[in-house]
Amino acid sequence: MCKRFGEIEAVRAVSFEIAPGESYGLLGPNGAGKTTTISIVAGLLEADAGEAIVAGQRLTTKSVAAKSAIGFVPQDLAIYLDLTARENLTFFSRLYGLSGKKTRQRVDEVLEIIGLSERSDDQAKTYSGGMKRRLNIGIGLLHAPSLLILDEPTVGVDPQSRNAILESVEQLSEQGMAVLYTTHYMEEAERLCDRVGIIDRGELKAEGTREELVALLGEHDKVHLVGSGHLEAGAKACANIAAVQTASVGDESIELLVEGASAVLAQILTTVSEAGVSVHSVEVDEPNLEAVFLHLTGRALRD
Amino acid sequence: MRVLAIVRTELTRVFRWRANIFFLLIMPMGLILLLGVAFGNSNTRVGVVKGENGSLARQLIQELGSQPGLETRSYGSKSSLEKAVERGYVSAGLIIPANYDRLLRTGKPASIDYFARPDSLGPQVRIAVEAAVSAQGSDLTAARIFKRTRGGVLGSALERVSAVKVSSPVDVRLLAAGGGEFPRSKGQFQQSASTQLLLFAFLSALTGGVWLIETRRLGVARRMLSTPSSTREIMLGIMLGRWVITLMQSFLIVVFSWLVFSVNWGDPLGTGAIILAFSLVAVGAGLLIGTLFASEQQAAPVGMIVGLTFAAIGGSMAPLETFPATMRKIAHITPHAWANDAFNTLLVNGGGLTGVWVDVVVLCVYALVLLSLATWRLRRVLTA
Amino acid sequence: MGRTGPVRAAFLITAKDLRQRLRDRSAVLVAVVAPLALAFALGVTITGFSAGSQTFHLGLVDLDHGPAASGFSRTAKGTPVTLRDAGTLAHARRLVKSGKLDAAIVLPRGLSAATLGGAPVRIDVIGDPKNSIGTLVARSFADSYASYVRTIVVASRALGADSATAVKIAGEVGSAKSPISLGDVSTTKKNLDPKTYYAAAMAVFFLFFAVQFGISSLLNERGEGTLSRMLAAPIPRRSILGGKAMTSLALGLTSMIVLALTTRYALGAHWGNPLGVGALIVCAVLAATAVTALVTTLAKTAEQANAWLSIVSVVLGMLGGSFFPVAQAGGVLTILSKLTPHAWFLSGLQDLSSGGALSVIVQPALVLLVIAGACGAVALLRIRRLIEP
Repeated sequence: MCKRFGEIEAVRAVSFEIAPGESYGLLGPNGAGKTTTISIVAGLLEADAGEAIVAGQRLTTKSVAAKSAIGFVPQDLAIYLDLTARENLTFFSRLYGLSGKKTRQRVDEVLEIIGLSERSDDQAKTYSGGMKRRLNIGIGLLHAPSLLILDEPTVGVDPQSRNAILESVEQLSEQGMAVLYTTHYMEEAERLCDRVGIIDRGELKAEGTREELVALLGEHDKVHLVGSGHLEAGAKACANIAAVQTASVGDESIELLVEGASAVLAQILTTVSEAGVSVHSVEVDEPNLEAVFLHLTGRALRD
Repeated sequence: MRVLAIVRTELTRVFRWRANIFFLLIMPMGLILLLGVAFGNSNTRVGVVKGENGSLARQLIQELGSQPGLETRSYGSKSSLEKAVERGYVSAGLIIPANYDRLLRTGKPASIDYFARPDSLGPQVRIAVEAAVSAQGSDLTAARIFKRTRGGVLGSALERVSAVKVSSPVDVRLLAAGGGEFPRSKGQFQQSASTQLLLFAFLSALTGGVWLIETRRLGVARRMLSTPSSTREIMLGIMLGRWVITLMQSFLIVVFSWLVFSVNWGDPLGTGAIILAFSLVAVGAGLLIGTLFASEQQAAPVGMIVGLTFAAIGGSMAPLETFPATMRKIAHITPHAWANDAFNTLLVNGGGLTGVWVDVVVLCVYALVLLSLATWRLRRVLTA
Repeated sequence: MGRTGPVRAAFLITAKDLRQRLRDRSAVLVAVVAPLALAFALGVTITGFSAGSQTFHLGLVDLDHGPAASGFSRTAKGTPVTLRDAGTLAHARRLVKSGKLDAAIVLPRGLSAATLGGAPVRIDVIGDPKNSIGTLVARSFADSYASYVRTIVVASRALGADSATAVKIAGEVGSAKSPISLGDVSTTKKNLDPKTYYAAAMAVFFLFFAVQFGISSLLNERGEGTLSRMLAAPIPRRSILGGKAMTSLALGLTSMIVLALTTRYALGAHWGNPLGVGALIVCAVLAATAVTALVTTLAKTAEQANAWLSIVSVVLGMLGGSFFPVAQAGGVLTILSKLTPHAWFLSGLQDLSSGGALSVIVQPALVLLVIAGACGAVALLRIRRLIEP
């Protein structure tokens, strides 16, 4: 897909697929083109080139039927503050074709899911920030869409609500809903998403599972042990550990290149102590998605 | 001084918005312009349907046209005259029956239908029409008496009577109770300039209340409260800002109408005092409304309603003098009525500050009450 | 799940809008309370001057001490004027100044003599500039007395009468009825009734504020993000537009109908043939909605739209005669006035209220529809910009 706003090319040949039930994260800094991309997928913007196909149907700004397959949770709160949660949900559910008793049932269900059943008849303006966010998400869920799109749902949210949101998304994902989740928080992408696409300056730099992406780094964890004693012996002993790729001795230190250091760190420490090294400090540099991003773009994920 | 800082911010905020420049400055001047063009014409038009156009009818119309400040316009039919009066092309209509001349010349009575728009000129037009009618009636009565005494035909009696050249044996002069001549009719426009000024000043100051809501909503007022400034200082700052704006507006209206339409505003001290006091009342009312409502969507229409209704009741749309007696007393609930009275004194009587000080004091009391209420409400709302 | 039909979607949006507006009461204030309050206020204050409505208290200062005074008093009988003796000039002035008298009439020395052919004299009418009506009534009185004297003098002169005959003539003139009677039929003319005019004028003025809540709320929703939600929903864009337009129509129609009914039954305004009034109202609401839509498409933010809409509503209202009759201005102003929906609505209504047949509304209704069509067409062309996230 391509999308240009005047001089600015917001999205440049971004292309990806999401399998049913898969949760896909779009990870990138502010201004990367995440919101533009998903606006196109949600049918809010018309792409200059390329197309979005959801549940086998082509989706444009003009499509009506195809939009039933999508649930949308925008970044900014999009709720009617002078209506109650129930009224908000009822209105949108009707827009999505639910009617009568089915509406009421579904609305009650969603209220339960987002935890607003007790305050459902108070106007939304009386809700706390977290509650408003939950309502924001709830509206997206109403019609049990095939694809739920969430645009940076945790920005500016207090830690408690943030956790609640992440848990809900996990649950939805487990229940089989496909999720398109954009964020600039690496931890969220790592936690929630089956696959992640790294986007910067309108281009999709890389995509894949976490492992696949990390593998792009081509490096492994660096373990830096500062200690004294029989360093050579310690290094040799470590080299025998399967996960340790290379071991070398430095200035009062042992440098190891390990695959998955966190898993074998305890083993390494035991090994070097047994070899006669007394460890003063340990440093582990784990590559993560932020490192991947840095590697791919030369810039930091968060400013 | 902190208060001045608040004043400066208020002024900047208000004038950053171009729409405000329209409402506060351009619109009132436009309205004065409109009124001036619409009503500046000092002659009142009376429409006439003159039936068969007999000589007596023509004479009557001539007599009518010679009344000071009146001019006549001919219409072919009753319905076209009615429409003209309805639409306002003429202030009043006179229907001279088709057989007017015939009736009168044979000594029978004739009746003329008169109808007028219910505006402030009504009574004056009526008087002038009556004067013209009674001038002709006078000749006819004299002719009748002549005919009865000397016999003959009414027509020749009329001629004889008309030949008598006599200047009015009785002249009528209007004097003012306070001394001096009774002021000549101001003309509708002169009259409306001052009343419209009051309407606008009040209305626009009321919208200042909406700004206070914005201030509240943006939490700025709360933030101001957390500074060393007291609520009173904050209100003072906001109030001064709004007062300056309202004064600017009034000043513009006065100068513009004086320059372009030669509207006479009377003694400058008196006018200044009235404007200062009235503007203060307007600002107070506006701020009070600002503290009473939570959203500007509610405050704006309420402001508009209060502003326009008070203006109407207070004599800023139709002049107080045309009000029925009880309404006139009720009108004095509004500050407009007092200000209109004061302007009347200044402009009609040619009085000065001494003549209007009572009204000005009343206005100041109004202002004090409103501002105190507004400050109290603001404190309650912000610290709630 | 499924989706809902386009028409139903539009109605759903209208229903939601109306619920919101009712909840914050702003629409009720603007569409119902404001015009009612103003129509009422204007209706009770602008009742016009009709001689029969008040009694005027006039004082007489008789410096003549002749029969003129009693002649004067006799003319007051049967009129809404009560005459009383006010003593001296100074006393009369005081009474007028204090408001105890509406005005005072000073009969000068030599008045009776003037009646019989003596030297001309002058009657002074003393009034308070604050009470110009009272003064004018007194003046009218004095004028008619002056006319009476003139008649006597003219008749006497024509007959060459001496003073004795002049007295007889005076008696005759005094008892003669004026051959010409002036009948004030203003109150019978319903179309001149200010209550009706202002009821209609305020209704159409506030109409333009009432319909704002529909179309311009699109901008509000865009700002609040809920427009995106509607765009993401399986409903066509025209449903969103249609829903908002219907909100405007609903509010406008409600406003005007409530006003028409209330002013008719509570204020006594005469609106005329209900069918005609209904047709005019519908056309006016359509025109107002179209104008509002056009202005909204020209604005970028909700605040801007609201400001411009207020400006346009006030300017059109003033030019269209909602606050004072513009017709008499003539020239450019009359032309400008004819560009406003207000002027056409009011003129159609005036024709109806004065008892015209239904056909009188055809021209104004057509003009209103043309305005609606023209503005609506331009608005539709620009509307795409409005419905973007």
